[in-house]
Amino acid sequence: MERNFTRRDFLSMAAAGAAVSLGGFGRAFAQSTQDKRVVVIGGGFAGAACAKYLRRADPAIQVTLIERQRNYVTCPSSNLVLIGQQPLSAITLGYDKLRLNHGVKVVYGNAVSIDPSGRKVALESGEALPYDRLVVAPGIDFKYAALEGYSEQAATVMPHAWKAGPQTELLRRQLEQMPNGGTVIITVPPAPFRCPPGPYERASLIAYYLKRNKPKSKVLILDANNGFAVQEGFMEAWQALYPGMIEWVPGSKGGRATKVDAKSLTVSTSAGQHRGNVVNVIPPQKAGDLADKAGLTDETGWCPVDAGSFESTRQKDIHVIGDSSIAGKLPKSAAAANAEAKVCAAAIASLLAGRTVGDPSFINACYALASPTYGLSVAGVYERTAGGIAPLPGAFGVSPLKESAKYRAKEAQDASGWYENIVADSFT
Amino acid sequence: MRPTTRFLLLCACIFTPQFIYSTAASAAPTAKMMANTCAMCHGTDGKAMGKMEELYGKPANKIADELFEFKQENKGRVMAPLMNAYTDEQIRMIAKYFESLPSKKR
Ligand SMILES: Cc1cc2nc3c(=O)[nH]c(=O)nc-3n(C[C@H](O)[C@H](O)[C@H](O)COP(=O)(O)OP(=O)(O)OC[C@H]3O[C@@H](n4cnc5c(N)ncnc54)[C@H](O)[C@@H]3O)c2cc1C
Ligand code: HEC
Repeated sequence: MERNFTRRDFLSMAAAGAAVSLGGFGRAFAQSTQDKRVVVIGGGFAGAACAKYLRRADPAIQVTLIERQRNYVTCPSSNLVLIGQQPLSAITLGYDKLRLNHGVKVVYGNAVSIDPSGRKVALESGEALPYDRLVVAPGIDFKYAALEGYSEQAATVMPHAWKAGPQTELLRRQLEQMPNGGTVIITVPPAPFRCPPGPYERASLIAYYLKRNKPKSKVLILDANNGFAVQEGFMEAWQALYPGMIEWVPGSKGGRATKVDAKSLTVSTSAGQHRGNVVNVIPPQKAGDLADKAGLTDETGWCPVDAGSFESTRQKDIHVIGDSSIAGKLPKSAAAANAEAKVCAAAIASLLAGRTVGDPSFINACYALASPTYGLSVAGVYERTAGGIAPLPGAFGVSPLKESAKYRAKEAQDASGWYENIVADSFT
Repeated sequence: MRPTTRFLLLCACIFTPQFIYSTAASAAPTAKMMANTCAMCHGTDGKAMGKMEELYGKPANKIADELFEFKQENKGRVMAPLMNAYTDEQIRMIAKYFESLPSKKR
């Protein structure tokens, strides 16, 4: 069993009355943890890290992770899979390490409803899991109704690839099959959406692929918004790397998609119709469906929470983390999900032990690739504020403009270092 | 040491229409709370994977010196803006936390 056993762990276990022997403490926990149960729904960056850090914070707590898929495909790095730089297997993970290294119980199943007063989660299989505190981390779902013509069915022709997996491979195949001289359209939904720099990283890497394989082709970004994350950095990179290949149409100039048609591969905006050879529709988004059903969302479609504990302001004893939550100025990123998970885990450990919840501290750091060797970053330390969560003044930065190729290559290398470490920190 | 590159420091208002709230002066996250946020790049407990710099088991003085250098010289790719967030005392707390981790098996 690979686990660090700290003095603090020992004390908290002793306090919980655990019968502990250093040799076989894995078994000792199983007996002593009957009384405090935390169930985590969703094994993405948020839920997985929360389950792990709960066990690290207090090994006396029994933690059960419910996840509907046996394998998790990370969205980070999936844009590299899209252009054939990595196989899908390189970004596919399992949950064994959470179980083996941290004693998280993993239940594969679909959570279909929550009973907040009875404190139980029902699975599709009919099983019901009781909890003292529940963590809801289901990621995003799509607001199909907000974009005329788009549906699960249409996504088999105009992929979103905004949940990684088969959709990523579908879009990759379409890119491989399109003719030289064709157009790839990417539609960007109104903010907030998962991964603010993501659509622009995708446009960059697709341009990288096209330039090498189908150089007469173009990328057209139809954007509902009037600006984007790390905009100056991306624009500088596009000018340098792919001059004339990427066109960005902001919302104010008719960029917002109002209707799509899978038969003719067209996107309609207020300014007219565009036809693509490949159409990547990134649809309007909301919190994962389960959050809706459980009454955790507000009129925005996302879940309001307390910034120190991530406890829902709508339902007692239920915490919401990751993309589903409204986390102030923290973006919907894997990095923020990982940071929120730890704050939430510490808060739950305190609440279950009857201690007051301490002050949170967060880091968000997003790397985006303008090419496989050209990295851009945005990083900041965030704290709770009167209005929610915001970066500390002066502690928020983006990659400088006019930097050397060497610097960009270093940031691309940092990006893969970040990926390796956040994956290990969240899932192992 | 001369800073080789300067990180661009911005306020988030460039990306968002709202202003930044100033921090609660009373905020006092624990050393563990702050140190855990480093893990997404430097690994759980600072046990880094791949090429990222290892923090686990490093002497507190060494970590703190490096962090002060990032902060004072506005140097380092992401580290400079991150270090601007912390008081000198908090930087020392974080450095000590990594030093204090038990030197058990990895
Ligand atoms: C193309 C792309 C690139 C990205 N790149 C980056 C990047 O470089 N850096 C970064 O920080 N972020 C990046 N992101 C964003 C990042 O992927 C998300 O912010 C992150 O995955 C959010 O984590 P989460 O745990 O909230 O949700 P998810 O990762 O979506 O996890 C939710 C999990 O819950 C499960 N689930 C949902 N409902 C149920 C249910 N009812 N029962 C059981 N299980 C359920 C799902 O199967 C899923 O495994 C990128 C996103 C995209 C689309
Ligand atoms: C977004 C990723 C990221 C995060 C988060 C991060 N670091 Fe770093 N860190 C780096 C990178 C990249 C370097 C390499 C040096 C550079 O930036 O020039 C580095 C370098 C360092 C170094 C110098 C190590 C050496 O051997 O030279 C120390 C010390 C350090 N970080 C500590 C921390 C601490 C403490 C935290 C949390 C408060 C933290 N880092 C959070 C990315 C990160």
